[in-house]
Amino acid sequence: METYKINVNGVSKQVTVDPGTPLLWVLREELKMTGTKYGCGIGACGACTVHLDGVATRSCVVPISLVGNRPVVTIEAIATDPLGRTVQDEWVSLDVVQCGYCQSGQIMSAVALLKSIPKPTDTEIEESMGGNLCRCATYLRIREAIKSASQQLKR
Amino acid sequence: MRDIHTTGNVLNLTRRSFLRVSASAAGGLLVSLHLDLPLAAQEGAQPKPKAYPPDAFVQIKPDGKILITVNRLEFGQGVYTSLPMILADEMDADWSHVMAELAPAADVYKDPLYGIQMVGGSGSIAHSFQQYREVGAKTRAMLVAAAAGQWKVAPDQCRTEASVVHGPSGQSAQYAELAQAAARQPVPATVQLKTPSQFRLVGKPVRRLDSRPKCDGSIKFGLDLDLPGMKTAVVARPPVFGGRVKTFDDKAARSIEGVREVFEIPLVRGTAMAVVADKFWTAKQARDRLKIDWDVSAVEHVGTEELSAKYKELARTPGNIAVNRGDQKAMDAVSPANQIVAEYEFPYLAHAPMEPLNTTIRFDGDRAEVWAGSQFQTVDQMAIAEVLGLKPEQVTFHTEMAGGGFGRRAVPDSHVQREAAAIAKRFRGTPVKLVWTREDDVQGGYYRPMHVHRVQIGIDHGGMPIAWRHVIVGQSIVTGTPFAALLIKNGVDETAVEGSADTHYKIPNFHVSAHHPTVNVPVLWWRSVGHTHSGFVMETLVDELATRAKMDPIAYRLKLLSPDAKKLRACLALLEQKSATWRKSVPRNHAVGIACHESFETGVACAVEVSIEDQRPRIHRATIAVDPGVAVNPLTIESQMQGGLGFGVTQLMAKGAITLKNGRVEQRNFDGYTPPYIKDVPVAVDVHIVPGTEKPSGCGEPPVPVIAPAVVNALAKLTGKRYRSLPLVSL
Amino acid sequence: MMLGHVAPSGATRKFSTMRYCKIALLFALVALTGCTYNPPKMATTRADGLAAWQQVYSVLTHPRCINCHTATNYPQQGDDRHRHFANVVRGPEGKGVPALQCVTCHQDANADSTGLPGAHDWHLAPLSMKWQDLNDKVLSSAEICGAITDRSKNNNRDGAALLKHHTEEPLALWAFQPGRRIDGSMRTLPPLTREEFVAATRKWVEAGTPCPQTH
Repeated sequence: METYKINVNGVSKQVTVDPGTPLLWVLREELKMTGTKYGCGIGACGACTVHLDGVATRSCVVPISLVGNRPVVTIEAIATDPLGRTVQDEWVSLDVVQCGYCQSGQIMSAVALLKSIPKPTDTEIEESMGGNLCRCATYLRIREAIKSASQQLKR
Repeated sequence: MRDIHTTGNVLNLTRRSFLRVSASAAGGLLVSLHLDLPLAAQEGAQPKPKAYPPDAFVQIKPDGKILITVNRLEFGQGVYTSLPMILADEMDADWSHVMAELAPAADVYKDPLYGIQMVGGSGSIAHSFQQYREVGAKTRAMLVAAAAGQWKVAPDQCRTEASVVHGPSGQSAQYAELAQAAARQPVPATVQLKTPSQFRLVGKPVRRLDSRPKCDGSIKFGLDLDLPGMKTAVVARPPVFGGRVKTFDDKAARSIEGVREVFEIPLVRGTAMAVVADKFWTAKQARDRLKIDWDVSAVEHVGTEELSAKYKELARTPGNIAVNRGDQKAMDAVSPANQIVAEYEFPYLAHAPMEPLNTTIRFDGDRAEVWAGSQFQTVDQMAIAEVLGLKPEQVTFHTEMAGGGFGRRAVPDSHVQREAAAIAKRFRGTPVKLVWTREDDVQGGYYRPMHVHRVQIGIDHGGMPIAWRHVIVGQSIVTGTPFAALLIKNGVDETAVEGSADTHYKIPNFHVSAHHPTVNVPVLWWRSVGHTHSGFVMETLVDELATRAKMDPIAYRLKLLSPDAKKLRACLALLEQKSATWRKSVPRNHAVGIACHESFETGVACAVEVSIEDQRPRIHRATIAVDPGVAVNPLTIESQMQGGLGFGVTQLMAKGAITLKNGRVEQRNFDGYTPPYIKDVPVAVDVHIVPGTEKPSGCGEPPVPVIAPAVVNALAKLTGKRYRSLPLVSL
Repeated sequence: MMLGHVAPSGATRKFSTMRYCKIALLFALVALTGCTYNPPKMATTRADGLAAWQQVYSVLTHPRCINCHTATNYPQQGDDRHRHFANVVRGPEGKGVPALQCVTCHQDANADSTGLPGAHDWHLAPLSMKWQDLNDKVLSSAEICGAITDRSKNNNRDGAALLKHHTEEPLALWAFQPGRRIDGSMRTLPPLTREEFVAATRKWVEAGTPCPQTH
């Protein structure tokens, strides 16, 4: 067991866990933040996506020992970012979700895409969202919501 | 009390029902619907009406909020919104004030047709449409009676709109104000339901009630549950189904800080090791360090290769007869040149819902409390009670929001719940959450069974089939379950032959039979069940016949369909209308594929545009026409059509198969069993609903069977090959 | 394991064992002096250089290296070099695409608790450094040697710079400490140790980075 200080959504937190504990489980079980989901544990589905120092990161494969002082942003705080709020609003407006389990990760990935490419092409959307799994197959409305959010962003 | 016959029920159950109305403690109105149902024979005693709460369907809160209880699990299909819509519409409730909650396990929430609390068979709207309408209408009637009584006017002089009763002389009263008075009204024996033109919500594209919480991280699924003092358990299961623990060494496991207990538990078949710890990661680490010596000597070690060979051999002999129409000798009169003989093969499929299976149970000795995203609440409740030595009514069962199911959460043997109960039993007073990892899920069985079909078709000079001999080989899903009495006839499991035996194509001299080998792999229904493979076989063979006859695939189907196949005919006509233009102008390397299928009383017809990119089928677009009778929420229906097509693509994925070698499942996680990602599903899907006034039928499963055959029918045009083995490993 | 044109392993092993002591001595001297040591120009024949190159080639074409030296727009993974899961793609700079970058999963060090390999700035080698063709067939010894000595393709590296790359580049060094898979097993190592690899590179560089004839 070791003690780590991490910055989550702007707040400094301290946890004492085994160094190999993935960031995902630190968030879910130590900090009781369950918005970030467990889907596979091997980085194949994206349900666990957070932003680590601004980079979309799959928290299920990153042990707490490798996080360091890089700030973590999770789905719970994404609405404080105007872009994040726009993406969420489009998700709601277009009725994207079905079971909803993958959507935290989908939204986090979509926000990372739009931060980097405000007006993505269809190909860019498909490539960037290409590793986020949705068993309900809400992919069509995800595409539409990203395009719609993109249109609403100021240049 | 009055007998009410639910329209359209196949079984035509007679049921006594009454509304019991009471004032709720907080001053609102609590409306319960009690159903004394004759249960399916195997379930035994009649349910007794329950005291309130928990069996309320609608509560009017003093602040005007209206809480509607949904009797089915919400796992993506949208009932959390569409069932409340139905009730709120008849009630004339202000939709902006409506909230929903998932019902706990209770007799009053049982499916009116099947007599268990369930979601499955695409039956939520179909079976509860009438039910929710009546509760809504009767609630409205009592609110009106209360207002009319206060204003000393006749009820029929009043009208209602958006949670307000309006009197004939400008009087008005909010539902919240009337609630107490309404509670004292007698429950009307009969009630007038709305005509379709009076619907304000039903038939409209109403947005989901659960979207925002699912987008901001606040929604809680079963896996997210956190209770004071809760422990987490994982289970090490035998590498071969049915194996048993022989010996184990838990020293290393127990040495990890936070591990509470390590012990053997019984499984439905065999035994396993449970590890209970303070946290999930701790439990998982401890399980990884467990050294277990398994006894797998007494169970069959299944290998996909051997099973495939065995099935193909079996398929060459007639099985138990599912349907035998006409004269089997008719085939002998057809020369081989005018026959198609086709052998199809389908693998085991895992459901792999995004939320891995989990259940939380706290056992208190004389009662227990359960939290689970279950498709089979009352079945699971009974199983948990049995393991804990309790009566079902001593088990409070909370239904949690679930991250997908597709059938995986509707398990007749309740094996997950039984594991959880066996563990909770050791931790009296402490809530224990059992978690299945993704590896547990991929390797844990309860798959869509492996199948082989062998079909022999005799064709006349007009290109129409005049004889059809069809043998299906695959495990029976319902054998050994309470559903067997209902669904096995003449040794044939209906869930294995649905989609072929009950085809709407008019084929003379039609013979379908089935073999159900016993195999040491647990199997289960996978979204659209038998239609997943039978639909593929029928729609690819019909397509092949159409090509041989040099006929347009839609025209051929219309010619071959029975005149009674109203829904399929309507769907094909609508499909033709909505896709004719683009189908005529696809680019050179693209092809069009057609498929239609009826399942769960809903007809679906689909056209896809496909090309080959990166050696995989690229589905550029799909047009789908659906006939679900009355369309309660077109926005939900569109999402189910789009999602169902995408889900059906699982069958085409190169790594879309569960295989076994020497009894062991070869795949571990999404790297080895790979479901569709965004690039694998149709890029665009336009959905068209046949306008209908017939009773609503389901939308969750009907789209699934058509995508694989439609795509493969398109590929046949591009490569000249007919694909009869799924998944599509190579083109 | 496909390694293309490789000298029989027995001969290679014997060769490296013979040379090991001299190389070990050189390393020791470098460690003691603490400064860059320019070895005296031993009479490294072309034949010696080519043999050394074969050893280098055996490492470069091992899955731990070649999985990121693809000709396609995706990396490979595993000893069977199958396409990397989750549809990860090369992206404009070989670092993936927004929301699905290499560093979306791969951190600066191996994560043995989750089976994720890692090293600083995980990314694909540029297409100029592809060591297999579009059908995943490993390129020949001559082809790869030609590519990595082509200064228009190799980021303008001369022999000394190539040696430095093989000695210091974190991603190259990762191959020799590739970490554990999710099931706890160690990833398969290249046929040489890191020291042997560096020594072979040095020998090859001393010989003037000769390449085998194209065939």
